[in-house]
Amino acid sequence: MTKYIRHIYRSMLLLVTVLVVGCAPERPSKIEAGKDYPKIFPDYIGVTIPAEIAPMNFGMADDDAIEGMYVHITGSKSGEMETYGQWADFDEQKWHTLASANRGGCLTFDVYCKLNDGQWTRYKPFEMYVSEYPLDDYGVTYRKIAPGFETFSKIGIYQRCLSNFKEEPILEETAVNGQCLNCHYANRTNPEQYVIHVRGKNGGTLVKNADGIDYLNTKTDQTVGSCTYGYWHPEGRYCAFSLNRIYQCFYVGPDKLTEPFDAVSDIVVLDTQTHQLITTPLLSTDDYETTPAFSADGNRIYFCRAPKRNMPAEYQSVKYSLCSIDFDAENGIFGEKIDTLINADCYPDELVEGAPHSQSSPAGKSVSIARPSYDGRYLMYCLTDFGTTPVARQGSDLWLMDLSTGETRRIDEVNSNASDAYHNWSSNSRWFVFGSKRIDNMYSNLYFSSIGDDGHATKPFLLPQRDPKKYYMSALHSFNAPDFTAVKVDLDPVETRRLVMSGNTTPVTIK
Amino acid sequence: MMMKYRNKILPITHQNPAATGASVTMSAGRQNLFAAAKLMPVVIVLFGLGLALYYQLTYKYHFFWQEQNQLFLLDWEYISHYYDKPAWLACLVGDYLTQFYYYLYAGSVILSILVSITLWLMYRSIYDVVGTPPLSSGQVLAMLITIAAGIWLVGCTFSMFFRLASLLCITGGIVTYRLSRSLRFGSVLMVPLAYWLFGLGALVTVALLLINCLSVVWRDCEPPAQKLSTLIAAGIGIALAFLTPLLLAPSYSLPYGQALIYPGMARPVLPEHDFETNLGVENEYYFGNYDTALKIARDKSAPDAVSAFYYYLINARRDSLPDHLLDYGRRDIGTLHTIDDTTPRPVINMMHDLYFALGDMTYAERAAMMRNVFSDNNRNVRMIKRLAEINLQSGDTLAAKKYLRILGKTLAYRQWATMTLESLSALGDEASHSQSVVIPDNIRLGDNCRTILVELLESNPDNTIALDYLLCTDLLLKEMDTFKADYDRYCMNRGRPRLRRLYQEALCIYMAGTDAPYEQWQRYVLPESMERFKSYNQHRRSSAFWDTYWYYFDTTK
Repeated sequence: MTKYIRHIYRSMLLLVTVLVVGCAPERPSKIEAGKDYPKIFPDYIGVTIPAEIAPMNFGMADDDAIEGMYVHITGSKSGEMETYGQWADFDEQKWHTLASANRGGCLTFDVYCKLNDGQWTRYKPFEMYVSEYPLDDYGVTYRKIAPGFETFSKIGIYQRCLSNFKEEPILEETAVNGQCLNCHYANRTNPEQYVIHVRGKNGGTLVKNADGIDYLNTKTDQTVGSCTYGYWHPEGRYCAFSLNRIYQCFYVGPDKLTEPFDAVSDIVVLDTQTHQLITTPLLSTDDYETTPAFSADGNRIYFCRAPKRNMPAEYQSVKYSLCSIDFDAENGIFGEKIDTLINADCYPDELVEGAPHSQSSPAGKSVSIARPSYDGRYLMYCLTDFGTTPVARQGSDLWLMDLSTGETRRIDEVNSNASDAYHNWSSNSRWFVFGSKRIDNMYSNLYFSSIGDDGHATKPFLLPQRDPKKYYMSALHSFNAPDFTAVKVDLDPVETRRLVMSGNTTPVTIK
Repeated sequence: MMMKYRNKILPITHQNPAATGASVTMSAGRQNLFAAAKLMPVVIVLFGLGLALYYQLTYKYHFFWQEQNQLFLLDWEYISHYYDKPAWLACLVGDYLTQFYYYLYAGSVILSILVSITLWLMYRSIYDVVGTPPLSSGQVLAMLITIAAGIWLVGCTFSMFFRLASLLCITGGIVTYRLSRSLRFGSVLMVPLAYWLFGLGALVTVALLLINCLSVVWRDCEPPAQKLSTLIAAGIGIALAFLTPLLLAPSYSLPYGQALIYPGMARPVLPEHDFETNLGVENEYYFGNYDTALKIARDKSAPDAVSAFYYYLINARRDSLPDHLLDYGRRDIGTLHTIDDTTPRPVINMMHDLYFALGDMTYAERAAMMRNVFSDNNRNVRMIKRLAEINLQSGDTLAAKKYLRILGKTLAYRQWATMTLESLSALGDEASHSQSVVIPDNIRLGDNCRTILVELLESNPDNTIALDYLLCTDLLLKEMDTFKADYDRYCMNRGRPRLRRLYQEALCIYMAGTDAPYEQWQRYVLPESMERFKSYNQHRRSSAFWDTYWYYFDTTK
């Protein structure tokens, strides 16, 4: 018996020894740093991150050429950490401790690679800046869909915690078989209020507010379609929608794929208490009015408008202007005139009602997806040559308007040669998320950047993943319509399924 | 030794007639049944061999279909996603084994072995329970139940919706039951485990537990306390089998009904030979075995849209579409199909091949994406390969590399992906020799194939595949004015008359119909075609001319 116990003891000792020796980081001997930065994926060199973000794991862009890598991080204020492996996979707890300790400072990454021939090489150390602005939202929500094409099935809405790598489904197509899920619109990152438009046989608009969930049929005899793109009033009673009938054409050549366009589009406001649609003749014209967004104080609705054209033949001449209209939430009525902030038909000399502009002009181009920051300071929008779907257009860029001065500029700090679009603000308006196809021109991925007091954006960083290269190189979906969520979304899939599959929608009426 | 073994595996069966030598009076018919039941192991082995042979000889293309309808990656991150749903072990092993279907014979061997093992386990499990007094005919009962289950299972495997994971769920459910038999009350705790590992297999586990329970209750020799405890255990097991999915369904993001029977089981069907034939044509085209594909298409008793589509596509690729337009049982060349939300799935599945052959990479990409989306879990390895090819052709190397890297993690496509990645630049040069050329990036105002074909021809007049499809579409629709205009525009005006018999015959009809002067006849039609046309007109609608366009024009509405 004693012999047996001794045998087990020795085996355990051997196992522990092997584990300790095998898992210990392999430290390269001291070598001189090279002159070049390492070519890493994702490109995190010089990015600015919130202290709360998940570990910014990265690998070498050409990881076939290396056996492993050793990364040592030193905080400018305090702390250090290291990791060794096929890619830089940082311990979550240590990462958060280090990032928090260096808020407002920077982290210096010293990267060593062990090449396939066993030799170590060391690169020029690079910095990652830890912003003093917190990103205190729980995470981001998004749809995952096949890129660029109509998808009739299997779309899911997901949420991803930003301080770790956990992704969870909010609602998957499997939960509401055969129904197509549109975007999930929360009220200023508060998931207690949301709308989801469901297409398909039992289609309707799910509206969740303090009173519970309603499943509404927002198509009426007097309106041109169902509620499509939504945006909540800050007080939570109203939700502005555009009613779109969207079609899609395809390109002949190889550079562009699809051209989605609105055949008809108007703007209404849904009163979620009375289930009434508030309309105005100003926004129910033959022209195209789309993608409304309430201002931070709720007294104004920003939207995009273009004159009606013969579609799709004249698709290149559809250029949306950025407009706004007042909204009186107390009485639930629209204002009586439309203001044009950026006129797509004008050219630089006669730009926006005297507003100054910088870098280059947005005039003569098409504005889409205007999103005011929740602190009321900025308005971010996409600018493309024409049309209303920037995600389909390679040249789509993000622009920023300072609402206090009217000054507008292209955010060159974050834009790329590929499509940059679908932006949204964090709850404290210091950070924004947007989708970009910069990795492969095909799949849209999520990038984050912050806006400083001077109005300048920081170099964006790609949503961290445990093994980012493997993840992004294997993903067969685009991240669509991202938004921050202040807390974890807790949607009841059973109740949602019951509502959707019943097909029992409550009709809305016109006020 | 034998007794010791039997007691070990049959804790409930204390008085097995085979072991105790209990005598039973039987009729001759029942004796024969008993004799057959004793041969059950041999029967199952022979059945497995026969099944493998049957699958291989008549059903092999279904295996390619199943293999292509998934994208299994040898990658821990991908594999970890199997934990997101119930039945992860069955799905993981099932999908892993399914990728071997790419190799000839592997599918039939794997499936027949697994079906045989499942049936053997089922037979043993039922026999162990019912093969004791007073159920003296237990062996026969077990055999009959196994035969019924075998028929049902094989019927399921014939379905195009069958997944190997479903079969493994049943196998896993039986194995869980067998492992848990000696645990008594503990056995019911295996039910949630069975659900976690094998999904719907938990229902099989609990069904066997129930049979076991009923046999105990049936037996007079069992003490009442044991009968009661077995009944309670079975009741708890049944409750757990239904409660576990109910509790876990929200976390799996599945409706209860779907969670209960996850990953689902295809309904048993008779062999889908028509679908198998279509898969044969499609896959032989995919593998480049054009002669085999044409043979399967020609041998098809009732040609349909899919077999016709590939028959004409292969001929177009061989520059012989006009020579074979009228010699197939169904004249559907695929150009009149469009893809939208009403398009049948078989049409969506095949259209990428046409657009790719025509050189329209935008539409090929769209069609491939659509087929990918409509595959299980939105993953289709063949479409990923097609997307890689499309992006190589269109010169989008970033996207092509992405798909190639994904394929590099598969079992069957790794070598191709690695080689292609390594020789990407060389392939890029090759792509420039294809019929696909850079086209101006204009929006397409219609999505019917005529618009596409005209645009392709305007960009590249040498695209003979597009030319033949355009002219043949005109002729099938009997649009003679359009045909003449297209022929003039893309053949005559470019000084390259396309002297194919079909076109000559069509031109004769046009000339005759428009009372064209003799000089025009001479310009368009060869003398021998004119002679044959005269001959046809003397025997109009004669079946001797069945293979001419004149006959088609006169007899087809």
